[in-house]
Amino acid sequence: MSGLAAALLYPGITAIFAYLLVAIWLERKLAAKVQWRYGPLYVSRWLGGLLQGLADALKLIFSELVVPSYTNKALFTALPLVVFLADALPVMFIPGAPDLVIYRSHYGLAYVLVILLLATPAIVAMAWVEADKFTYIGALREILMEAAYEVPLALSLFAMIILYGPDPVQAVEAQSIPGILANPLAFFAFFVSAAMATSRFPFEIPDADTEIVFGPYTEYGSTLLLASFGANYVALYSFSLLGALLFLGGWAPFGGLLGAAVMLAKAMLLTIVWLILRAIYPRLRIDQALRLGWGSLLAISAASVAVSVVWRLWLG
Amino acid sequence: MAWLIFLLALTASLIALLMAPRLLAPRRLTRAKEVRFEAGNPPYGKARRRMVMQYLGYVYLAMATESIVGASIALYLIDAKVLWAALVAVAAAAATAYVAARGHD
Repeated sequence: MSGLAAALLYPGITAIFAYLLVAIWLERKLAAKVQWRYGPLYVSRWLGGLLQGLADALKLIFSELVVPSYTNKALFTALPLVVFLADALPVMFIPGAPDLVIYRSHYGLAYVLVILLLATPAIVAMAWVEADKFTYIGALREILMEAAYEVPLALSLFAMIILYGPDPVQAVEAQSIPGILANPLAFFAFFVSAAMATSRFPFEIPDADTEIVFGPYTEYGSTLLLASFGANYVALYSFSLLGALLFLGGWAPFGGLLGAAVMLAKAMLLTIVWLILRAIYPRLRIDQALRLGWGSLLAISAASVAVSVVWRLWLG
Repeated sequence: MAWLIFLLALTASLIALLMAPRLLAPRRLTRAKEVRFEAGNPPYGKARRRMVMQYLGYVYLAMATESIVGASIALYLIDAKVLWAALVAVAAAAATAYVAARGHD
């Protein structure tokens, strides 16, 4: 029964789509607050404009789905769905509470890492099939961004696997102090890598709308735009849950439903910090992001592995 | 079976998302809608052009380093006793990549 609840409610399907709605609204609202604007307001004023995202989705559902004549029609239609699926799959292995896990695996964290890194090839394939000048530039930038963050991300997760083991459920039980305090370097490397992976500012380089229209998403409209661009926020959901689990103590100190609520609150806290970056930072150039990834971020993530080893030696 | 239900429900949601505009949205295709987007201009030339060599070194570096880091993590997961060997491999790969990237500037 708990497996079914995990698959259909939280952290599964319902939570994924609810997160999409809330995260997009929060991003617009937070940026508006910083810039002294109201942000979304007119649709559901009593909810602070929360349903604006739903109205936008409805508008896209009722707009014409155009498949360009020069593309491979089957791939053009299928790849946005593949990207969405690839970004949602890590949720399968991340528990939302002690018994709320869709698929419990001893190697859950390793699977999560592999799936998170496989989402980029799907985006690149999508941009390639679109065969547009802007999507082509976007695909190149996507490849270079993954080149910048994949090693630091892998190392930061390796550091936490050394500390807590590869089982996501045991990772919470093993945290006598939250991971962010035990290994702040790993958290920093994870936080920046996740911002790069999900195109958060200052790394919103592949889909820089003021430079290359919409990068890998340029040719899409209607619900295909919803699926392809929404996948970015689904990836952010996966990273938020993973961050809350490994670095903020997961559902601790509670269990059951209260634990699930605590875990979600911690994931939302991380989400808010990633979202508000939009209002704080300007966009970096691709060479600056690459230099950061292969410079200080690589050094910090390698040092985080050393910190975990020192903990292991100290704790025996 | 929860994983199967999750995958089926997710796939069904995405297919419903794909089908909805086909059933609900108007279909009035024109030539202009079917050609690639060129910021309002008629398409010209090839979409896929030659890639600049400038950043290729980073891609190669990522490919080489990632394989060593990935293999080290996999080895550690298979047998936790090889932690020190995995750490040496990771440290060597990270140090080499760091120095190589400095030389790439």
